Formats: sequence, structure tokens, C-alpha cells
Amino acid sequence: MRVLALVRFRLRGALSARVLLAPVLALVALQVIGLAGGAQPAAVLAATSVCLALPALAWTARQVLDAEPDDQVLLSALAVGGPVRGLLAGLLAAYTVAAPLALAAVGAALLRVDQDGVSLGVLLAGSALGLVTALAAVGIGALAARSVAGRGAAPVVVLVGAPVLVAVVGLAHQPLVRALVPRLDDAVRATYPPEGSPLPASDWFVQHAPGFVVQVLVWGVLVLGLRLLLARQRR
Amino acid sequence: MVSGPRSCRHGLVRRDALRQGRAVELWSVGVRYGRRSPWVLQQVTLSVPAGTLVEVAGRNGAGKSSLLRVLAGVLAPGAGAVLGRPQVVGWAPERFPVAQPMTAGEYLRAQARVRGLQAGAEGAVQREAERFGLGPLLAVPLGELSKGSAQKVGLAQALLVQPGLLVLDEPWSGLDAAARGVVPEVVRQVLGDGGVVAVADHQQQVAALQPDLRWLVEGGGVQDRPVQRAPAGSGRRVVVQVELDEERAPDLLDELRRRGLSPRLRRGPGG
Repeated sequence: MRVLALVRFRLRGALSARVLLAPVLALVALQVIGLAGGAQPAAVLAATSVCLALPALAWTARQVLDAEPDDQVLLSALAVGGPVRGLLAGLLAAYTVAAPLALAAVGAALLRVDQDGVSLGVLLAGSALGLVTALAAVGIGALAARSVAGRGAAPVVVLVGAPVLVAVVGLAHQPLVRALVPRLDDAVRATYPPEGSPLPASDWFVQHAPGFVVQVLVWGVLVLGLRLLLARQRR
Repeated sequence: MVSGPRSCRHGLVRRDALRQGRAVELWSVGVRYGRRSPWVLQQVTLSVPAGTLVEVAGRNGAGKSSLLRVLAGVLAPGAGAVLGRPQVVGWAPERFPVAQPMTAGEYLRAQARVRGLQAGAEGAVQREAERFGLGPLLAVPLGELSKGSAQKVGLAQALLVQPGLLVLDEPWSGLDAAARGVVPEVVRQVLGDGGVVAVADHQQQVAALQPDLRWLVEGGGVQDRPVQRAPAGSGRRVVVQVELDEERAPDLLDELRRRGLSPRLRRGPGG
């Protein structure tokens, strides 16, 4: 209950301070620019939308985590019973903002397709991918936060570098290396079935989406777990 | 560097505390801000029994606030450990962070809930608001509070739940006369319940509270010095009256407070 009270406190602070305006505008801009063009299948739009949302969601998460002044972070941690609980509340608050934004991005992308062109499978797969991507984004945002990356250029390097790393590492052939980052680019590629495949794009994507959802979920949980472990060690 | 047991005004509470092992201990504590940064404090080993008032003294930048933060548990020591810290800790930083988009009342109510108060949150906020004269300011945004009013909010949040350890960093700074009188009352209340209070105070107001321990922070270490008390006399009380220029009064009052006395200022005719 105390952690949830702190989540509400942090959400209120972040939403009232209007620190989310810039990353949300960036999210909209990325979606508009990235998805501009001719008609695309629903699966392509859903996966591309999630992939494009990652950096803006990470920025959003970082803004939520850094909305409080330094001494208030300490006061809140003291009030809630320790820095790990304080950080957990921050991460939950960040996810509470990032997850609906991810779903909204997927939903907005699918609105571009005729209603008949969006199967329930694509809708569910895209939403699930959006929700786990929001988790991964909170992980990246936590690494870019003031308490880890400081105040200089490092946060920008983390926020810009993470999606670049996803794209670059995605080019590697070794599965182990590719597993080091959220495989969102692979999810986009999975919307284009190989030549000769009897399945249409949507079915091919729906069939492969669970694998990507689990990989991104595990990646996000590991990064957030490491961040919490770091906070525990610094007690 | 190591403080041993010493007599204090709350002797009974303290003896019980020692018997039960209830004392806050700093063991070989070191503090630095970054792995390559120099140590602000090193090898600090101190003990503070329950029911004890500690004055933390030292020059600006000596490391008083760092020591207080480690004691409160908001700063993890780079070396050593702090043991026996009570469950509920109240910490009032030197400058309360006002850059938050909410009113004083909203802030205090939210902090009360984070402290675990649900139905009692409003009552705790009203109690502290009344104590510090914050009532009319509860509807004022934090960013619009004066320095003294922000300080009151900082003190109030530390007391929403009765702390077992109360850490005050320059608590009298910016307070008006009425609120200044509340701080000693708060300190006595925490001590009376067997808690520990640590205070850093440049204005020497803490001397009037007759601290049990005095930690002098200098040169990266902490010296645990005996507190200078007024010598025991015959028990007869006298009043010493001094007449002097008004400009010189603050210095004299400060000096007398440093010596553990409680001087009173009375203006002469026409003053």
C-alpha cells in the first residue's frame, strides 16, 4: 500500500510538472513520420509502430523517474521504507505512463487500416508487443535516469544509443548476440513472410509474435531486476 | 573518534536502551560522492544511545550534512555500516525541495499516506500544520512558499509519524519566532519517547537544549567531544541583568546559549 501511495505521488508530480509533453510529442512525431506512406498490412503497421515507439517511451520513463528533485527522492525513499521500494515505485509509475502510450501508438497505427484488415490476432499480438516494449523502455529509461547516468550527456547517449544498438545488434547473425537487445527489429521483419510461404503477413506475424514478446519481456525484466539490485547494493 | 557511554538527561531510558542494545552505531563509516572522488568522511565510528540528543558541529563544507544523511539512511556509506537505526526515521534536509507541482497540504497528505497512514493521514497533517502554524499555507503551492514556510513543511513531513530517529539539518534556518519555539518542543518529545535526535545548527540554538553529545566534524573525521555545560553551583538561582547597546545583544545572546544558558531579551524604555 505504501509503495502504491508513492506511485500515485510520483505520477501526480510527473503529470502536473508537464515534463511528459516533450517525449509524448516525440512519440507522435516518430509515429507520423515513420508510418507515413502507402497502405501497409496491419501487422507491419503494428510492429513498426512499437519499434518506433521505443526511444520515445524510454524518454517518457526517464522523465517520470527524474520528475522529483533529488532530496525529494531521498525523502520519499525514507518515507516508503528504503531506496529499493522508492525505486520500485518510480518504475511502476513510469510503466503506468509508458504502457498506455504504447497501446495508444499501436491502436493509432491500426486505425490506418480498414477495420476488416485488422484481425484479432494482430491486435492482440501488437498490443502484447507494445506492453512488453513499454517494460523494456522503462528499463532503458531507468539506465538513463539521473541516479545512474548523471546529468551531462550520458542520459542522451543512453536514450539515443539504445535504439541504435537494437538496430545494429539486430544485424548480427549469432542468436546469442541478438538476444542482448530487445528484438523489435526482428518483430518488424517477421511481418514479411519469406517467399513461398503459404501464410499471409498477418498470420506469419501472429505466429511468431509470442517468441518476440517473451524475449522482450525477459530482457525488460532482467534490466529492471539489475537496476533494483544496484539500488539494493547501494543501501 | 569513538564515543563511549556518557551520562545524559534521559538516563533511565538510555540505560534501558543500552540493556536492550537499542543504540545507533556508525562503524568505520566512510562517505564519498563517486568512486574517484575524495573521501568526505573516513573511518567514523560513533555510538548514540536511545534518548540522546546529538549536536553535529563543524565548519561549512566539513561534512555535517553528509554525516546526517548517513545517519538518517538517505545516503549509503561508501565504507562501513550503520547499525541499529530505528524503523521510523524523520529527516528534515537543510533546504526543503520546493520545486514540486503541488500545494503544501497535498504534499503532506501524500507523504502521510506513503508513511503508511491511511485514515489517519488527514489528522496527522492537521496536527503538524497546527504545531507549525501552517494552516493558512496548506493551500499554497510549494513553489510559492517563503523560505521559512518551506522549512516548516520540511519539519512537518519529518514528524507525520513519530520518529525513533529524528535528523534535523539547520532546523531553525528561516523560521519565525513562533516556529523557533516549536523545534525544542519536538526534540524533547522524541527524546522523551526514547528516540534519538541529531541536529546540525549554525545558529547555536541547539545549545539551549543541552545536547548529550557533540560531534565535531573536521578534517574528514568526527570527534566526539564532551558538551560544555554550566558548572554545577550551590543550587541557588540568580538573575544577572546586563544593559548594553541593542546591536550587541544578538552576539551576547548567542554566546550565552553556547554556554547552555537560556537568556531572555528585554528592551529598555523607548526600545
